[in-house]
Amino acid sequence: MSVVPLFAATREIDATGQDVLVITGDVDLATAHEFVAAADAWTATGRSGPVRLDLSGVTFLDSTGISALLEIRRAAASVGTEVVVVGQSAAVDRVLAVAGITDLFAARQGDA
Amino acid sequence: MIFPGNVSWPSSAVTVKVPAHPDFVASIRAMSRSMAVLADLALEDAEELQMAVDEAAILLLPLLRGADGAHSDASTDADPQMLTATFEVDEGCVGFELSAPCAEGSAVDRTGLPWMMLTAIDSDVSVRPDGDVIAIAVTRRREGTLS
Repeated sequence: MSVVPLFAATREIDATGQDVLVITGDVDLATAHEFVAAADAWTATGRSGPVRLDLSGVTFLDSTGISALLEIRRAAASVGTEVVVVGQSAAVDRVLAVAGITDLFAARQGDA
Repeated sequence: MIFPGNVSWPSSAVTVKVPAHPDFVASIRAMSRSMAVLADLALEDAEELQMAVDEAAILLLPLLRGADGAHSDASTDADPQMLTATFEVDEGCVGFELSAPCAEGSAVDRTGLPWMMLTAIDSDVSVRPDGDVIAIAVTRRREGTLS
């Protein structure tokens, strides 16, 4: 039996009609690989435009979650695109602030 | 039975052991939330205590005996398959220590992001080797609480 924290990555169409990868729950050392896999699946479709992430439902993020974000960013750059965070929770804000990389993933509300 | 609110604690130390696997770190995190409530920490302090739990686990799990598939003849009685988390709770303060028996000669990585996060949370974080057991200890105090 496995005890897995609540985590989900779902691809949705947002209010602007654009695809967005909605992440909810804890992104930690048990689930960060699922986060990366979900983003990889996005880029593997070969679609144009940035990888749009909605992190407003993330309840916890640790350094493996930050590493996952950086890995997703690198993967996006390797196929000529970028990562756009269209929303992030206070939990994400706080961890990025502790890590000193707030600006790197600043939510671009204009893209929401 | 309802206990009166003025009964003092028989002890302020709480120890839990969980399987040394990423899936179980969340359960230590949940325990840290309870300890933060008991210590009457602010929400921000409680959140950072949870971060500290994860970062300590991230640093220790790769060092565990057998983490690299190698067998070790370590002499400790500590269970190599378990992480031990100890909380010391006081008014406005929670001390947290995570320990595990680690592979011979292993050392906590003090160069990466997990260590940076841990030291950002508590600049006095300590790493204590005791035989082949390595313990990482942090203290979270409510702002304005004297050490």
